Amino acid sequence: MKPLLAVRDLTTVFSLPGGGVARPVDGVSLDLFPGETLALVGESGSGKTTLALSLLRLIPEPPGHIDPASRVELDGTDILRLEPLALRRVRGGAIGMVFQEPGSSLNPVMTVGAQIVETARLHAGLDRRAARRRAGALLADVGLPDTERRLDQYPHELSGGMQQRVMIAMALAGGPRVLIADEPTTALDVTIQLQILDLLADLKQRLGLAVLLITHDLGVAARVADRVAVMYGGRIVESAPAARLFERPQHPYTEALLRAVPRVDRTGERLPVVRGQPPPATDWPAGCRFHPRCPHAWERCRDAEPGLIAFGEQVSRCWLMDEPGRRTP
Amino acid sequence: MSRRLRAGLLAVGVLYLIALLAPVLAPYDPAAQLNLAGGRLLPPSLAHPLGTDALSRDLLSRLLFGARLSLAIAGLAVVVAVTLGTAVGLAAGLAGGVLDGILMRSVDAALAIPRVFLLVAILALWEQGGIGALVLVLGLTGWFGTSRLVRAEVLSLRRRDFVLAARALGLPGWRVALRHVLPNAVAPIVVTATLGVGHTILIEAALSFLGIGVRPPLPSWGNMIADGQAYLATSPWQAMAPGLAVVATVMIFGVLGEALRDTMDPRSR
Amino acid sequence: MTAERLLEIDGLTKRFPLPGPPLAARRSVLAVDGVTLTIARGETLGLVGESGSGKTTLGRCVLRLTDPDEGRVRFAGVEVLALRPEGLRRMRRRMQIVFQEATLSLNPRLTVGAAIREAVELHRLARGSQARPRVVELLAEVGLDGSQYDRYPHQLSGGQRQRVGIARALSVEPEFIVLDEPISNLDVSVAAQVLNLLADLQARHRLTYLLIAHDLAVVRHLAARVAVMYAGRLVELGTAATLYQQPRHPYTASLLAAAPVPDPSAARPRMVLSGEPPKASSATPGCAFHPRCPHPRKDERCVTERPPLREVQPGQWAACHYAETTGEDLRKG
Repeated sequence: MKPLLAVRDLTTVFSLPGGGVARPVDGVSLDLFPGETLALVGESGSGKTTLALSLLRLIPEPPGHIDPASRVELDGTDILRLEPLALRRVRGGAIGMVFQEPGSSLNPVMTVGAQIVETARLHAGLDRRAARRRAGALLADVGLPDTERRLDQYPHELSGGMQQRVMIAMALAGGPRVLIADEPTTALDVTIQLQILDLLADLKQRLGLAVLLITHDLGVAARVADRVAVMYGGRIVESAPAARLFERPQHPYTEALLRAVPRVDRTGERLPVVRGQPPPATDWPAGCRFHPRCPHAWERCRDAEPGLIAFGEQVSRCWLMDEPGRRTP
Repeated sequence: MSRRLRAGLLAVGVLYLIALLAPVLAPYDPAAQLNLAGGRLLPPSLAHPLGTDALSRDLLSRLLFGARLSLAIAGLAVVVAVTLGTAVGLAAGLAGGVLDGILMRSVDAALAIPRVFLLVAILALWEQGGIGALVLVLGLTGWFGTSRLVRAEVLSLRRRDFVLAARALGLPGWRVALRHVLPNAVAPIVVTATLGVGHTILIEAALSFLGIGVRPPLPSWGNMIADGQAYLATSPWQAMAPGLAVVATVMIFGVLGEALRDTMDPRSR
Repeated sequence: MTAERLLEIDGLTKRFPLPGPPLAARRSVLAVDGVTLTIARGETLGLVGESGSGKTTLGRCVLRLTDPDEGRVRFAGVEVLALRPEGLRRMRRRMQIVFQEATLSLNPRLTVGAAIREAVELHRLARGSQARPRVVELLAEVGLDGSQYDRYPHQLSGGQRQRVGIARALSVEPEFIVLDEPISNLDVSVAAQVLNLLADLQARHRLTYLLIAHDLAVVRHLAARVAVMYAGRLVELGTAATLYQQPRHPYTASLLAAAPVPDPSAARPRMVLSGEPPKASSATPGCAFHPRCPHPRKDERCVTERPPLREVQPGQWAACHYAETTGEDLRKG
């Protein structure tokens, strides 16, 4: 099956005031299929939010700049090469985006209804009355009944969870086929988080969406993802079907992350930690970007950066895939 | 440091330097009536780069001494105003409750009275005041806005965790106020103060123009404009030179104030 | 083996007035509603809850950063709420707090060294030329290099800032520390390091912790006993082991079910709560949780009668009329 969204060698570069250059996204490729949720996992500094914004060219250019060799193909069309007008049609149209902080992403002086209607009219070309009906239907879809009243409410009258549902409704208003959700539940309470994740899974199923869920929380990924991609040092370092990744992580970084997370079902005195700090985007280490912190590293890791080496449906950017004997116990 | 900030600081520095060095730089005594017979209303020349006024006094010298007076008055008045405003704002913001209520309602009432009218009324009645009175009155009528601003900053800072942390460490209230709250409230104070200098110069010029600010024979840009008003058609430079000086100075302080605001805004760090 | 009761909280209540017309009768919100708790010396009590639960307010009341409206707080036998300013200042040496967002809890205009030094000098723990070495020593204890002394908070990473906050709290040599969401804003790997640090420090200095968190997993890691709050009320209290295995309050059970676990195959009860946590106890006569409660035995009694916190089994308290049957029924999902 062909991917709905195919990202190839996406590289985003920022020129810094001091004169330096940062490459938070440095050659990322991934595929999104309809009806599937891909979770992109990474810590801060991994480049995941920059990646999300780059997909829709929402990076400020200057000081940002998407490398011309990058390709983001939506059903065959490279959206990075689109004219501004066509690009705007894609944003909110074919590709919907949900952000992290619903409180800041909603306009505080417009009613909820007005904001959804705005998107609906712009992308679905509906007249005002039809758009309002659609807005009401969307609100019901995202689990906010009593739509007539809701449509006329302002964002501050709603709780965080409800605001996020409104954001999702807005993202859906243009009838997208791809949904990008950047840390959609990080700012929410745990029980509300569960509601929203369930909602996203349900919508994905019903509407056949391709969902890219960006998160730092492995637990969230475990809950909703069909496939998981782990990002480190501006690149994807591992990608696999969810069950496989959690059961048998191949990349040392993924392993370390999984071990460092405190779990409700486990207790222990010390958490095994990854020593050191994530490298800055201005200064990626030579060779494998994780090698300075990797317990298994050897000379090859310093000398050459591995490509994505496959093993069944799993790929890992690690020389251990080539030389499993080098793995220190 | 941004270019605008550097330029602004430089310009203000030069202004104050000129004002300070007026006695040295001025070619003549500003009060000296040099040649009542043939030296009145002379156009700009090598001997008198800005010409002379109706009493044959050298305009350049008067302009320089006027700068000295205006900048000094404005500077001092702003110091008085900002000190008062900060103290009141800090007290109101930290104390809260009844004290806050009383202080702020008084400020509101004071702000309801147009400042210029107030100034005119007081200065017209206080004829013997002189420069000292001018500075005092300008300062005492100019602190209200600052107090509101400082109070707002203090209110938002009070809630911040680092202030709570300071209290949690057992720091006494006055220490928390002076060491933790005030330094973080400084940014808007500095900006207001800078813009305030420009604003005060304008007010002083207006008052002097009306004859109740700096009174003759002391030169002030304001009263120089008043003097030159009658001769606008024939010797426009008399009024224009001080007029342009006022405009330029206010603009310079404005640029500096804006540059400071941009620099001190924590978001730009 | 009775450990000394270091902190005793009794019927603590805190109200916040709601904004309203100036002369009308002000309504208020009960942020903390009659909480009673004890913490033994050397123990870590985890306090868990979502937004509106009152856990942060409780932490602040314990330190008297906010004054509660009712109730008592006793620290090592001393009535904290009755202290005068001088006594309170001395008490501040013994009870400290580490805030959530270290970025906000550090004065942006003070260097790291100056911030910690201030605490050290105030309590006369080192003076003049001895102050700086003491601060460097503290920095080393939390894993920071002495060179950080002259840096400003904005020059440090999130993890480093949090360590500075911990160093500052340690600097007065406290016996008890309230940890208010200490790792919520940190990355996984950094959070793990800080958690380990907290555990080490506790062992080394015989500290007692009140660990406030919304993340059950974090609490599980450090705490021997756990208390759960909902809408200002204490709804469950027990040892970590029993609480996580067999929660007695339906809210605790839902929290556990909702907690993200990095293991897709983990068998968990299917329990999605509808609705939202209330902003705080709105003084409902009955159980605060009843509108969202999935317990099959929920009935009229839950609406009208407030369930008291009672000992359902030795060492485990729950505020639910039907706590005995919470486990089985809900797991059936």
